[in-house]
Amino acid sequence: MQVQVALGRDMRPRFEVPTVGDDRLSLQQAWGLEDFLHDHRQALHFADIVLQSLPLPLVVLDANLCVQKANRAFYGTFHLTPQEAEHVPITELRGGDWNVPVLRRLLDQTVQRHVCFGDFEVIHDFEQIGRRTMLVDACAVQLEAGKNFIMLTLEDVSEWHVQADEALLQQAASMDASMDGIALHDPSGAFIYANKAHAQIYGYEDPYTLIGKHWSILYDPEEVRRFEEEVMPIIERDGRWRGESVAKRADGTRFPQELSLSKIASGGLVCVIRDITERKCREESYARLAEIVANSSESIISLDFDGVIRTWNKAAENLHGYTAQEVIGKPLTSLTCTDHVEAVNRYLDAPKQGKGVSFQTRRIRKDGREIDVAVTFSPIRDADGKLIGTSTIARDVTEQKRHEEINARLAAIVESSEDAIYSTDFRDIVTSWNKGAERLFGFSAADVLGHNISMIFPAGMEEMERAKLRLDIGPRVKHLDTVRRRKDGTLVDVSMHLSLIIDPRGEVIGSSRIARDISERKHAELARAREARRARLLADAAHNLLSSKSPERIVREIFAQVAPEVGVEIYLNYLVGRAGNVIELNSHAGISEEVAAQIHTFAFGRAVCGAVAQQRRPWIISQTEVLHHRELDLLRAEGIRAYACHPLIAGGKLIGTLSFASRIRQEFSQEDVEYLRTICDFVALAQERALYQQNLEQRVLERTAKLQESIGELEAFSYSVTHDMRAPLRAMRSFARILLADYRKQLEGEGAAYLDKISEAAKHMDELIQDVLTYTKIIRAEVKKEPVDLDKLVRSVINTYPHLAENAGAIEIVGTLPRVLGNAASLTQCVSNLLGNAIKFVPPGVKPQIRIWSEDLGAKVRVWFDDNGIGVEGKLFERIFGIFERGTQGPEYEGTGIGLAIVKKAVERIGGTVGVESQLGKGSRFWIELCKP
Amino acid sequence: MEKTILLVEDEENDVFFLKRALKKADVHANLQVVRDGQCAIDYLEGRDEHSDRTRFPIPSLVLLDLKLPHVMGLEVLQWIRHQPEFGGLIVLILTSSRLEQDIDQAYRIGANGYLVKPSTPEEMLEIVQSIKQFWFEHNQLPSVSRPAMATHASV
Repeated sequence: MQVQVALGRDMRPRFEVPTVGDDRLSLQQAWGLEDFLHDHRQALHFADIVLQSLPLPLVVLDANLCVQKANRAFYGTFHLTPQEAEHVPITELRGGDWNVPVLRRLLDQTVQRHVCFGDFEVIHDFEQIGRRTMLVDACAVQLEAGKNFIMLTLEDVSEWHVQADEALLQQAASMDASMDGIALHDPSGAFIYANKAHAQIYGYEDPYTLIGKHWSILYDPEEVRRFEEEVMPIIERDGRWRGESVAKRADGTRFPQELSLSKIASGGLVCVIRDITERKCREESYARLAEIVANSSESIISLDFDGVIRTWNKAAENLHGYTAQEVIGKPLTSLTCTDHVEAVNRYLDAPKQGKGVSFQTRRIRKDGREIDVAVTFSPIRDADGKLIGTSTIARDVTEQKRHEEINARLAAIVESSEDAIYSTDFRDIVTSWNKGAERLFGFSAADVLGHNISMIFPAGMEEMERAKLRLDIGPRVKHLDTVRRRKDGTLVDVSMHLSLIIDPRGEVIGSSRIARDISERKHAELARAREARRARLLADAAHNLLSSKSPERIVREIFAQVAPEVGVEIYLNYLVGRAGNVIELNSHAGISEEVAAQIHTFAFGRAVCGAVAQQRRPWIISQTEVLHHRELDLLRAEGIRAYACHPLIAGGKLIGTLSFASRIRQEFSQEDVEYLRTICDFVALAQERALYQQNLEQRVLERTAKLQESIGELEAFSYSVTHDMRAPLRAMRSFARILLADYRKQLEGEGAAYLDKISEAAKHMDELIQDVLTYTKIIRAEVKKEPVDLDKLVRSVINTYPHLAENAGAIEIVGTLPRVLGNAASLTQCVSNLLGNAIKFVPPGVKPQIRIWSEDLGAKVRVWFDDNGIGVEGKLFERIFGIFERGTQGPEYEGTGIGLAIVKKAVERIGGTVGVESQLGKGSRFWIELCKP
Repeated sequence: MEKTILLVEDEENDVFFLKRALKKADVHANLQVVRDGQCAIDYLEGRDEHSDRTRFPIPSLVLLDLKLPHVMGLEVLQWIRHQPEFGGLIVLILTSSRLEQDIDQAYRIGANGYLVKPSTPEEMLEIVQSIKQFWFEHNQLPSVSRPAMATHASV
């Protein structure tokens, strides 16, 4: 049996259990000592020498783990002597100092299983020599059958370990400091190390939170699958992989990363990562830029410093007609018109010095057409800022050039136009002013440019026109005929077109006007239209004026129509005052209330209006007169230029005056004056009528008041009739009766009969008074209509009135009388009167017979009162309902002649009618017709 | 003890008719007549000579005309009803007015009856007889309207 010693890859000896047929080189063979070591003893000796001389601590243990032999390196390293160690179980060395559980388990395993293990790191704190880190190799050796030994090497790597630690720490520090993320995964894929950058890239504050975690938590499942299926096999094959991936941060966001994975001896991986978000962005923005350049509508060409075309976008192709293939590699000057080549070459120097330059030049298209282009050369720099070429942006300005020429021509046209053409910006500041405008308004361009356009507005005109010309509403081009002020202050009639100036963005930046002097033309051209319009207005006005209105409203309404037509802003309407020789301001417009108060009243002959009123002649005043006549100071003070005052005369009677005035117009034309005169005639008529009407209304009011007063007096009269007039009657009657009662015996002859007559006459008078009072009460009283149960009412009347109750048996009510719309008091009056008459007017000796029934007439109902009385003549059917009218009955029938009049009035007051059917001597049928409720 | 009737009436004839009717109706009453509203108030208040209640006793019944000089009848009635001691005094209106507003107003203020002056002495007699029968025979007067002696007798 031979001991075989082999050297490991790390040049440290390895002792392995030799096996039969093992073809590894033996020591002897390896060292060429076959001859020399043929002897067993010698071999042992040699082996001993070798072992003793090995710097590696080596100890041979028996199966009980007792130290059999150890080399010098062992004793030296662990500060032991052979005496202390030999035949002592290793675990009991130094009184148990060597009792290292890990080692013990290791050795037990070795003995029991006959296995070897190597490079097992054991760290132990020795009492004497302190902490040691040992790389332990153990090998079961069977020297003789049944006799097992253990070859144990304990390489003290403490020193080395410390150095390694330091190196590692340094490395780790540098790894920690690295911008790249560096991590170590163990074979299972769990983190055993991660530097700060690594953690931070993944969004973890502390690298230690990653330790022990599996790398797959940092990726989406698809990415993990890609790693497992595609990347891992490559690492298996090549030992490393480098590529890009998308990882997941702690907060769930994703980021692109570049990573390199290297397999390490332990089976784990070294993982180096870098966040490439920025690079990706840059790449994308480059890509976008490239796309923009490619798709730009501007022709963009890049040149190298020799002026040779290197890139050529689509727009360049469109502009020049050449495709990229046709021009790349050719000099730019080959596209340039020959007379521009030299200039272009000069401009090409600028980018070489890092400067940009813009200029206009002319190029030739593929089709031979020459084009004007605006070109910008700019230097191109690489990422380090180094100049590497020139970019050329060209824009076709052929059209623009054409426009400029057209504009110049237009400007010339505008300038030479006969019309005034000028423009303002949005603040009304004049921005252009042509020769025509100078001629028309008398202002030179220098006078107005930069000033507000209001300088050519007549006073007071601006506000009015601004409202009319609201540019932001209505059509963009407006036309109006208006008035402007010249530099010399005179006014000029102009026809004006006004249009908005709109910039290419669609914003209004001002307005332009074309104005033409129409002072002359105006009359000729507009007269007819105006005449027609005025005729129509007059017709309308005439129609309007005849409808009932107040004098003030008449003139106000007509002014609203006249003002725009004639161009007046002021009117003053005076009416002759009650005193007769003064005029008073009735209505006005266009002047302040203060002024109106000052000029409220004028005596005839005072001021223009007073003079007009006195003379009954119109006054027409022009600007010139206003300016030069002292007595027109009132007009002058108000800034009035043109003034027309007409007297208002209707039916030869002076009603007042009506003035129209303008602060703008210089004078009224003959036509205007005619028109205003017509208007004034109309107003005069209408106001006369209105005043009459007002007067009439006033009179009606006064009469009504008087009437009210007399009604009041009538009431007082009624009261006094009741009280005072009846008192003497009562006295007359009563004394007559007393005389009869107390002194009858003393009376002779006809005395008693005369006293009876006095008494009866007084009684009749009393009844008359009562009935008249009832009648007037019925005429005047407020009657409230409401549903009335007629049946109940009639029966109650019969039972209540003594003269009816006496005859109740003679009164028959057929069926039930209906409910009617009426008034209980009125109906009671009617029914009692009708029944009273029926009972009263019977022939002597005849017992009254009365029937009452109702007849349904649809919406109405007729109630009949049929009697067997003396009847009424046909010709009296109407008359008997009149007051103080009586039938043809003789004096034997008492009555005032008011009863039926009361019935008629009472029925009429509740919306009913009354009538009679009768024949003299054959009874009467009175009826009342009433509404149903 | 004789009952006292206070007649407030300015019309001499009417006073006469009433006196005649009272006599005919056999009413033995002390009739006191005042000619206007103010006198009526003075009488009831016991002012001046009226303070002598043996001559001017508190009446058992007041007959009050409406249309009176100075103070109108309704004002007198209102005054009476405002005096705590006359809250129960019997006041009959005797007037020629048939106006609804007068009738309603009189009752509203507190009249005990409203009589319209008749136009014949016969009717006047009927009225006086019914007053006598109702107010002096059937009806129990409030203490204020009872003659003073009766009050003493009950004590």
